[in-house]
Amino acid sequence: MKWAVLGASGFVGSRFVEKMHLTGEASVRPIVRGFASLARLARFELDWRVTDLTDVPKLTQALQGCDVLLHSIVGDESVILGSIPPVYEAAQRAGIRRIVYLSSSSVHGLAPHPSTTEETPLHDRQPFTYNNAKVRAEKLWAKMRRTGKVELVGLRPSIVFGPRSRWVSDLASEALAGTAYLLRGGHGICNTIYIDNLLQAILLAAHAPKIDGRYFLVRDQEKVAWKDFYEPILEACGAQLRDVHPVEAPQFRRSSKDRLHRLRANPLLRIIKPLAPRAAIRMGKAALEALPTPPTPSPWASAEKPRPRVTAEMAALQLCDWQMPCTEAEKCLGYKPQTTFAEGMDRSIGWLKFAGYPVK
Amino acid sequence: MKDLAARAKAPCRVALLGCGAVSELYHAPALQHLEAEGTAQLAAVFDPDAGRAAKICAQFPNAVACPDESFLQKMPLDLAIVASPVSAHEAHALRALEAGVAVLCEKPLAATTEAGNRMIAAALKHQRILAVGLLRRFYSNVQFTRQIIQNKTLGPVVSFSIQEGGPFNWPARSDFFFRKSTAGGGVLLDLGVHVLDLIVNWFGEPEQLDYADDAMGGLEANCRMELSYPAGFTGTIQLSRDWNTPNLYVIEFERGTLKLRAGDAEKVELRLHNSSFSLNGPLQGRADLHSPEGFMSSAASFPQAFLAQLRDLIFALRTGGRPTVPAEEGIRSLRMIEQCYQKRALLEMPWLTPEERKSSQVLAGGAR
Repeated sequence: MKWAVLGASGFVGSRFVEKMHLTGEASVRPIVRGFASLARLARFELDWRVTDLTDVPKLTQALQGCDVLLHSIVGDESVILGSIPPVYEAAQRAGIRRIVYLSSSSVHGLAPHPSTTEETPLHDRQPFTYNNAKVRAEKLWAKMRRTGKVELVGLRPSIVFGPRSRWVSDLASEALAGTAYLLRGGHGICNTIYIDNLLQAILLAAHAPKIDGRYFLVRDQEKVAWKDFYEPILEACGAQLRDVHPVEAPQFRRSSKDRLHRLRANPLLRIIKPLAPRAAIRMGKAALEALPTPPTPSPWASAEKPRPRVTAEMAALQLCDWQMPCTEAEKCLGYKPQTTFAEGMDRSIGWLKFAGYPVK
Repeated sequence: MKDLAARAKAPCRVALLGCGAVSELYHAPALQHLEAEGTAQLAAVFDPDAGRAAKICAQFPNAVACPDESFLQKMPLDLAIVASPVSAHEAHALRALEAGVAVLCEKPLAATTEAGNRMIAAALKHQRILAVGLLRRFYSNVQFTRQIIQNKTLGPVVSFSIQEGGPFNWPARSDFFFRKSTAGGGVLLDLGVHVLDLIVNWFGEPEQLDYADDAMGGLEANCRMELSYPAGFTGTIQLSRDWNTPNLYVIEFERGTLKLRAGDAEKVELRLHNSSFSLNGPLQGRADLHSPEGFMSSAASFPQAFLAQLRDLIFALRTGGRPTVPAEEGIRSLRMIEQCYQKRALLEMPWLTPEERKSSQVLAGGAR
């Protein structure tokens, strides 16, 4: 079976290519959007293609000869949604049998309601742009599938960790800088999935029968709390759980300036902006400039110790109380994680060393 | 600059061979600047992709796009900038030198030391300058570091550690950087050629060198080196075009520590061992303008280093002097790179499963 891998230079895509190429489990053709994305992939001699994903004829050519397509593209909403119609169209023209789409459990929110399953209805009025984009993406894939021939199967992992994962590298950087933090003592559920377990689910999703159009939540076998995730990385960085800043979930309120900037970035506003009178645009800009800027620190203030920068995304994730089920994946895909959380963490810390982080 | 301008009777007539990203982003703007001040004039441009050549030509009123390299024999030129893929460096440089034109060859000088030596032999035979574009030599903090090491200002060197690189973000126009046949090497050849040039310039040649990288049938994205020197100190180098490194050079001396940030041309951090304070900031002043070696300018930024490099070369052409980084210097780092590839071992990649490790060893071929 030959896989086309879109997003092959990213965290998931590059490990998929690496593992498939080294084990020979499948033949892979990485497809990237720019030449610079080849640096990591070029460690192997591969049959790669470089193409604009919105160029259907070129993408069709790049997909020729492949049976399955892994869509693991990352980017903002325009990239996530903008890639779907041309990729589906090209896959259909190239005779791809099935697309395995990497969605996210964030379609259910970052701290989903207990009892959430794949069947729980989705909505795109969440506070996080990314989550809404992933919800809209699933709807768009479904729309394409209704009129197209290529089968579609989606996976919804949550905290995918492993070598080159930002969950691992960001935490190591924070631990080394003394800015790591935990909410509620780290007792919230961290729905981890070690990268190799996700790859296993991807492979199964390509083969399993009678799953066209379905999405599957996938995770590691163990129930992992955030403190369990933090502890081994902290220790590798010479810190301990007690060194971590205990924080309360802050109130995240956007400043007026942020709101105006978000408004300016709105795609609809961008379309109508050229139609607006110049005077109105000038007034808008002037209003933006006139908004107060954050005060400069007092010259009498003492030098501060490193403080954690709590993000809204991380705060929401650490408040999660629900271990996502993966019974459907077990039942329909035959998914059974092969790598334990502890082993995955050991390998992740091994990668930190490899990448030059000063870890033990 | 007044002195240089006074010496220049006419602008230096320059040809540009290869119109990839380095030409578009750096050589062309530097040449525009020198053309505006009357020091140089871009006369001819060549690239197999006529569109790229035309794009650069459009920025220069006197430049003509040439369909092939035969213009080197036909046009009156003083200097050819060879910015083509490394696999074409030798052919382009030889053609220019044979036509009596001096050459500034982009780094690495050549795909192999043998090719580099043939280029040097041609330069000697035709009595023309052959310089290599190792422009970090013009950074003021690089020149300062050399002075500190040579003058033993902080005592003898005890050790050094270099970590440089990050996700590859050069605006490559093709995949030539990533094909073994065209690039000849990965991060060691691409980025390492700069780093090894600096350490050869600062510390001389190591007596022992161990090297490992992660190429498994292709080109390395990560590599590591351990070096030891006759004077008794040791060093480590880690390069990556895969993941962000701290981009830090740390040199430990007997009496202090010197730190440089990769990519920064003018700042240093200096800590004396008998003090709990450190100095961290830009250097003031610059190296002697007219050192015995030629026109030695100090640059405070990457673009300034391109200008300094060209001015240095034009000064050498006008005065019959030696450029600051002649091709012989480029050979030294190239020789070290070849030693590394000869000795290469496969880097330990702890996330690979036993089956994958076995396969990676097979794919890595001759690596130990």
